[in-house]
Amino acid sequence: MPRMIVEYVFDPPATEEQFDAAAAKLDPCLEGRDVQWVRSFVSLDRRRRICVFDAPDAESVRESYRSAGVRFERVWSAEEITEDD
Amino acid sequence: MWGPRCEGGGPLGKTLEIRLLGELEVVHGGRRVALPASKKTRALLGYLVATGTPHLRERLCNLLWQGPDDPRAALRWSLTKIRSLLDGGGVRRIVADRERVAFEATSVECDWLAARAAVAGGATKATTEALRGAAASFRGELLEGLDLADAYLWHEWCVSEREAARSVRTQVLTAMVERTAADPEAALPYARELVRADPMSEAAHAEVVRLLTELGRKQEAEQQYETCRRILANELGAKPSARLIAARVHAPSDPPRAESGAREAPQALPPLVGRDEVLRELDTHVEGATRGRAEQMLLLTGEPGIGKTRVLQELATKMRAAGGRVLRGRAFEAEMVRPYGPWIDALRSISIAEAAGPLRAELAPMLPELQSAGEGAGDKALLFDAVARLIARLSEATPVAVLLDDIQWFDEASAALLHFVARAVAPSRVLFACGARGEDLAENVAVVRVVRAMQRDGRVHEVALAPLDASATAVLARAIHAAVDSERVMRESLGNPLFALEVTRALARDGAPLSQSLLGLISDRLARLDERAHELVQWAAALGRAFDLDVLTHVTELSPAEIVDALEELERRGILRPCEAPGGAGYDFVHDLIRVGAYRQLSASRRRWVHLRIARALHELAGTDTALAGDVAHHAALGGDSGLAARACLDAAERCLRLFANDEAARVADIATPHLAKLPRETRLPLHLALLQVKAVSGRWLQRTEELYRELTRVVLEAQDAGLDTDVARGFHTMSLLQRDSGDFLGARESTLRAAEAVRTADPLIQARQLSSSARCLGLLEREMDRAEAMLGEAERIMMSAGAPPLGDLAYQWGRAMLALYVGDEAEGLAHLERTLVLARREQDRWVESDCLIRLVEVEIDADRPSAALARCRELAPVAAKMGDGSERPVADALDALARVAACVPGAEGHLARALARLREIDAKGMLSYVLVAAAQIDLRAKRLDAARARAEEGLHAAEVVDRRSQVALARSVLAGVSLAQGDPAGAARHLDAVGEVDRRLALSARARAEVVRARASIEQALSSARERRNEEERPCPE
Repeated sequence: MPRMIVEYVFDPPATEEQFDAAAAKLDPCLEGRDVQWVRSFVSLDRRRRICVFDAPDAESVRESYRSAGVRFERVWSAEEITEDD
Repeated sequence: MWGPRCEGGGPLGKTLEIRLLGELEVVHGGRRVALPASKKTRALLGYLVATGTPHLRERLCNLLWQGPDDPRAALRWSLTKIRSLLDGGGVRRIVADRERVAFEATSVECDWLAARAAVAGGATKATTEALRGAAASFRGELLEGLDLADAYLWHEWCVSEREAARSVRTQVLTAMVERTAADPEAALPYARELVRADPMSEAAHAEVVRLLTELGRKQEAEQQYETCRRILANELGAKPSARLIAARVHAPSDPPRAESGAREAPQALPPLVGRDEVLRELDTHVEGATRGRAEQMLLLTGEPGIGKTRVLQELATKMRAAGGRVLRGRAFEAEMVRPYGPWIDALRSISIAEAAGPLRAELAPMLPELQSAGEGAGDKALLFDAVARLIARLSEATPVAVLLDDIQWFDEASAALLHFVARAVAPSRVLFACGARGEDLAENVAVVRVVRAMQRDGRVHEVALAPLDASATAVLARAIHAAVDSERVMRESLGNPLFALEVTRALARDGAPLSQSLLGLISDRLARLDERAHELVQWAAALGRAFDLDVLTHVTELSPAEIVDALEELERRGILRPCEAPGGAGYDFVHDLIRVGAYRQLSASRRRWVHLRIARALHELAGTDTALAGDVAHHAALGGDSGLAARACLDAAERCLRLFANDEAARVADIATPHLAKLPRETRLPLHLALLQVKAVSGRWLQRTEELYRELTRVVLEAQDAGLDTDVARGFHTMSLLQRDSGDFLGARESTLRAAEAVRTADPLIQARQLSSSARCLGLLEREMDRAEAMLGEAERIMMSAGAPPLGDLAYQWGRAMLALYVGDEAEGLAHLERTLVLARREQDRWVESDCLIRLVEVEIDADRPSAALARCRELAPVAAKMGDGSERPVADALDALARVAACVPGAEGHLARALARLREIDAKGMLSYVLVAAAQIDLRAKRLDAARARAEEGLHAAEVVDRRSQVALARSVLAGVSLAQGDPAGAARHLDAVGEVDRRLALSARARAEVVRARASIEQALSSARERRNEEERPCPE
């Protein structure tokens, strides 16, 4: 499955509770669209976050976020480059 | 160990003597053995000996070691220490296996056990010898000084055991007074002791009065009467009984004797004697600081009363004389719930406003007065760094001394800050000096760690203050009372300065000290205060730390004028002294032991009442400010108000978290636990869950996550039963935290979902909205449409019964629109979409607005109304343009291009090609499929078969990837149409076979179904025509 990247920006910095609340809203929508969370990165100042998903297409992820009312900067399809390549 | 030391051995020489009545002592072969430093180890020893029965290890763990550290390990360690004390010479007194621990009293003499045995059959039956021995063995309270604030079960046992000991003591002394009644001189000490043991006993007081009268000591008798009368009035609200009055009547009052000896002058600081070497060291350190080379922290250690504070005061004087500034703070035993307390006091003790300038934001969590707007976002590192920089700034102009007293009571956060700052500023013009009680210091793991680390770096200069020698003691004593018997003072006090001062005062007053211990002397001195001062000093003692007049006025019933009078008196008598308190001008006890002495004069029931009043008064005073929460919790706990205690613990714990003092937060959350049990369910459960959240967040329970998790589960289940949904959500959220911390991410996600679920069940309208949203989601994906329909129905029902019209609900309208369009009800679909659009614009939800417009364009295109579609596109374009980096703009462009193609606008094809490329780039396969298939249909109608096939194939593939079944069916219908047009009905049929079932209700959108049915019909017709033609061809020609 192709990889999708979601970028976010938070001002003021996001709290753990906010992430959890967002996750709670997102999960059913993601599941319905066959989107699987892979991993996330959050900056130490908690102002930026990147989530990586496996999904059929980027729009599935965008729709999920919009349905759940979770804001994001952008979503794009990605090709992963690792050491083995 | 301030009393006279024992000499010589017990009667059996090699027997082990264990003394529980007073401070714990173990005597072996006539010599006192050094006890382990740890209070808990000593408490365990006392417990095992006093109970004399085997105990489960688990019980002992629960008794003494609550909290996140490893209890069983602590127990094992303590037992090792105890064994080395008690076992030996082939005798094992601690017998333990994996489950149980027991103390066996082989060749052991224990004062408490002996005293208890003496009166076992009733005091009247005991021999005078046994009674005398028992009376002599009471050196003080049972296991005196072993008060463990955080071991609730220990505290409970201790309280009841001490009650028992007091009762035995009273029985023994009463019996002794009776037996020696004939000899007043012999009886008097027993009678006085009885009064000390049971100050509420009028009979005891009366006995003393009577004996004093018989001995002709009239003035003392009068004093005793007065003391008793006052106690009766204050504590019991009673008047003297006939017996007391009778005892007094026989003591005609003489004019009061002029006080012998020097009148106590208003208290200046007692002279600092016998510390010449120490003073020289202070000079060296002050000079070092002046030169900018202060590298070592001065650590003054010694027993209570040895003069550490006095030396620190001297250091302050020297520093000021050298032109420097002094920051002073001290820790209080009751205050271990106020993180950074000593540092806050120290920083507030001088004016730092200027130096703090650029550091306001970082310092604000600790010193909120520096910044008015909210709390600075920050973390521990920033805060610590800011404090270090502040102190460095202060030292730019002049040397600075940071004096921190009683660091044995430091909280973990203060200890960490000390370590950080001391390292950060050295070498410099900042001199750090701390005072600590050596014994208690060993108990404080956090401070010990810091001191050891600094010692390893060579940054600590420890000065252990020793008792004064005879000549220094004499000088000290004579400064108070010129004619005192200084040798006697030395004998009694053994060179402890505070003790020496008290002995001197006592000798000056009565000629003979009445008590043998320092605390006893202090109590006697306090007993001589006038009524108002006496009452005030008790409130002050219960407050536990430096207090200001505001607080005192609030808690006592005295008028401000009375309070001021009493304070002056107390100041004059060297009991209180003015100092800086958090609220401004305040007072503090001259020495903590005096406070302790005053506190011990309160009976158990009065203590409870006093603490309760203080708790409520502080709670009122504090309002919403949680800085006092720790104090409130402390007093409420002692006052028996469990509700207030638990709530205040929560406030204090949360405040600790905000100050990054996570250790304290976890500890305070623990202290609340026994109080929760006493509360009714509705109050208890929310508090309990909030406290568990604090524990989880503090990160200090990582070793015992299992345990915490189990407790959490239990409480959440209870909350579910009680229908407390918001609290249940909180509980699941906390579980999620714990799971994440222990790496269980799947569990964490599940708990998060359950948290959200719990919130949903809380509010019916929220539930309705959730149902509508889910239905809409399913509609968009064209999945499980029957379930979507059911959800919308349920949502409608809920809204109606809640009196909220579905017409005004955006999610519901949107969901209905999707469903209506799916089943082919265009008119209804349009109506709901229009309604949704209106609501979206009202709520300024641009995404919903653009989504509605997109759907409206699609409806027009599907209905083959390209002009209407173009009109909608014109509405859509500006909205999509505002949507930033999402997919709305490319989608709007693509739909616009499609509509143009459908409307045969010249140049539209090129436009479309570009728009499709963009859709591929942003990877929006659903929309890509829609546009491609719609374009393919247009191509098919225009007989552009190759183009139609190419687009339909790509559209099919995209639809399959995102599993849009209706779209797949449409694409296949087009491909079937292309095959048919190319004269391949069989190929066309194959395409449609792959579509699968169409007849089940809601399996496909109405439109897709219609297309498939039409395509099938066409294929059928084509096949049928082909069959006919074949039949024709095969029919033989007519002859």
